[in-house]
Amino acid sequence: MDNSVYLFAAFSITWTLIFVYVFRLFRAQKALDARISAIKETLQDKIELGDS
Amino acid sequence: MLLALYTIFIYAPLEKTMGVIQKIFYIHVPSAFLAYLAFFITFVASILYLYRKDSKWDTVAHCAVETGVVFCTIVLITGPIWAKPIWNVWWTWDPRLTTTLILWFTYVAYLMLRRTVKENQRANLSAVFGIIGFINVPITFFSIRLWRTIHPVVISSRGFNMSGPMKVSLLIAFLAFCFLFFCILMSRIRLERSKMRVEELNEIIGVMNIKK
Amino acid sequence: MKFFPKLGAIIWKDFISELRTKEMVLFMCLFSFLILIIFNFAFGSSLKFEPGMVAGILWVAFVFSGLTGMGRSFSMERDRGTYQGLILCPVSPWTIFLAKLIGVFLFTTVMEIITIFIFSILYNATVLPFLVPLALITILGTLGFTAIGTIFSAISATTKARDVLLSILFFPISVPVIIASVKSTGIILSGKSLSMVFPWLKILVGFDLIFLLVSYLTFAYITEE
Repeated sequence: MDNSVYLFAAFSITWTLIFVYVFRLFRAQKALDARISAIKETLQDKIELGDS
Repeated sequence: MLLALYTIFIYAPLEKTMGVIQKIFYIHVPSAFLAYLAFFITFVASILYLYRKDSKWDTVAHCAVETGVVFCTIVLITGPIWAKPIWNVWWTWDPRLTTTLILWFTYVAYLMLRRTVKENQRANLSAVFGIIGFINVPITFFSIRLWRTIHPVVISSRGFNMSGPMKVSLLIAFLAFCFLFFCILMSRIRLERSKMRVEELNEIIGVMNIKK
Repeated sequence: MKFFPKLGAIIWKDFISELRTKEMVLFMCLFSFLILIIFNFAFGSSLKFEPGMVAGILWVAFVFSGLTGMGRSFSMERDRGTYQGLILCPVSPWTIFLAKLIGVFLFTTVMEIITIFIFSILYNATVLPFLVPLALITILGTLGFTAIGTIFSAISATTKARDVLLSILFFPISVPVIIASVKSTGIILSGKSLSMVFPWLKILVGFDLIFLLVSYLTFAYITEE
């Protein structure tokens, strides 16, 4: 049926939007997690240096 | 991860129904409800922020707006796609559509506001706008409805009957979307909290450097 | 009654500074005049005098030119460096809001009177028989959108992109006021019975009251730093 085109379009747009948004969240989260662990490492080093 | 779960959720029951294009409804209706819910959350969170001054509520308000805008965009796109084959028009100025469009604009404006304002005032001002924006929604809806009853309405509103299996499918889709919504909201809040944590940690490092 | 003298003082300050330069009202009037002219070109020769449509044009002129005035209400304070002084005054924030609102409202009303006059000439509209209801609707509608504009002017005055931000914040929220005002003006200008205006009147009054209340509750937070 001709209408299937519309249905397909609607679904694909919706899921694309959701996926893009979630993907961006996910990527940003990963980057931040990496930064947090990096910072924690440097903090650890500094604490050890400060103790010794 | 969680994405796979609800994808399965929705696809299974959908095949039960008749009328191909009708299936857009399963995305459209839950998204609309969730968008309005999101902005209601923003409204409450904004009020709580102004009372308690706890930045946690500002975070919730902000993230709810973003999530709400995503779902509102979905509503505004799936709506016309559904309308074109059924009513043969892309858009009508009926109260529900128009109010949803205004809603979208209001909360996009919220996000613009957050971008341009300085940090120290950002939470306050956003909260005020979050409150004003939501209060405006019922007023806008009734104004547009009054406006439309004076003009002859070309296309009648969308009420139509749903058979048994369709209702079940809708319910399942609804639950699935609610789940999706809260997952996205929580992820976004977690992201925001991580950002704040990074800033805190940076400050600690800065302080430690100064001490040396 | 310490409230009124304080209120009056701030209003008087704005009034006097405007009286000296007359820039705000002058620019607003010129702008609204231009808008009325441009709409004529926008619609071409198909513009017959249809009350519903020209009411819309009139209100577009009111709102857009009113926006320039509203934007300047707080950004002027920021630019001149008098904002801190204003906030530090021993008055409640809502008093500041009201004072600014009344100032903007008065200037905008002056602009609107002149605009209606020009409008009646350019669009060959008969306005005189309808002056009282028209004035009522104009006052209520203007109060509504200037209240919104003043709140958002205070909000956006802190930013760099202030005029654009003001417009983006302003329009979604002012939709009910604009619809109600345009519809009522259209009804009035077409000479139909005034009872048709009542539902719109209720919306306008409701809107004004609600947003004055909201501003009362929240304006303190806007001036916090």
